Amino acid sequence: MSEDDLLRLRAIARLRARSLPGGISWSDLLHEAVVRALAGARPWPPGVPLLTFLAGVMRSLCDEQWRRRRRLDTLPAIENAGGTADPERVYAAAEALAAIHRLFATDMPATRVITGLLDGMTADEIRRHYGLSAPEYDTARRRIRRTLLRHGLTWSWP
Amino acid sequence: MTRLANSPAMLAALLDALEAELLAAPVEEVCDTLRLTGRARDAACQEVRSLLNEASEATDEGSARTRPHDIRDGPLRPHLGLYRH
Repeated sequence: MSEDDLLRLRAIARLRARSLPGGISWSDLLHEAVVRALAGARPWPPGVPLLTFLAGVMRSLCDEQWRRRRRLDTLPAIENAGGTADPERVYAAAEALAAIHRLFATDMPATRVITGLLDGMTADEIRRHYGLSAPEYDTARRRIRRTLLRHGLTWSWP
Repeated sequence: MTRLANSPAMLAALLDALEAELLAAPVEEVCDTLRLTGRARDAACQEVRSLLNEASEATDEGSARTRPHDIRDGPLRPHLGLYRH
């Protein structure tokens, strides 16, 4: 893996681990993803870049972690919650969303892009809804990527 | 309130979108960002390499999970393309 791929991997692991329960760190998450990949528990589809594959493994590990957490949780209210999200996951997600918003608090165009993504908008919809020109939108996206990468290198999540 | 209850799904969608941004970021952009971070970049790369090595060793030994401890570990598994620069 190239140096830039290692850093993308780290940034993605940190992004994913940010909202996990039980103090699971990004390094725990990445370690487990690699172990599963090497052990063959997660087959690597032909033609899929390694970085994309490991990102996908981390994503499914996060879901698995929350399912496990829910199974272990003995609170009757949660067991009977049916399809509703459990309160801990809702809280963790809200915290993570708030942290992501804080990352871009001083950058209005980036905040608009993030908000649009949260609302499930496409790029065109975000541009139209917030009146962003194509260059403004692309610049905001670039700043988002750079901020995420920088925060993937340091422990300075707000 | 509904928005709060939906926060896991909203977060999942946002993380997928941000992950796609990171995967698609041009190499020059990543390198530009890295140049800004100097020593932090080197330490971060070493840390990830160490972590990948540890995971590889843990798999080889079939052992329980171990934490990264030494950034000077040996080469990574070539079949995954995880090699040192």
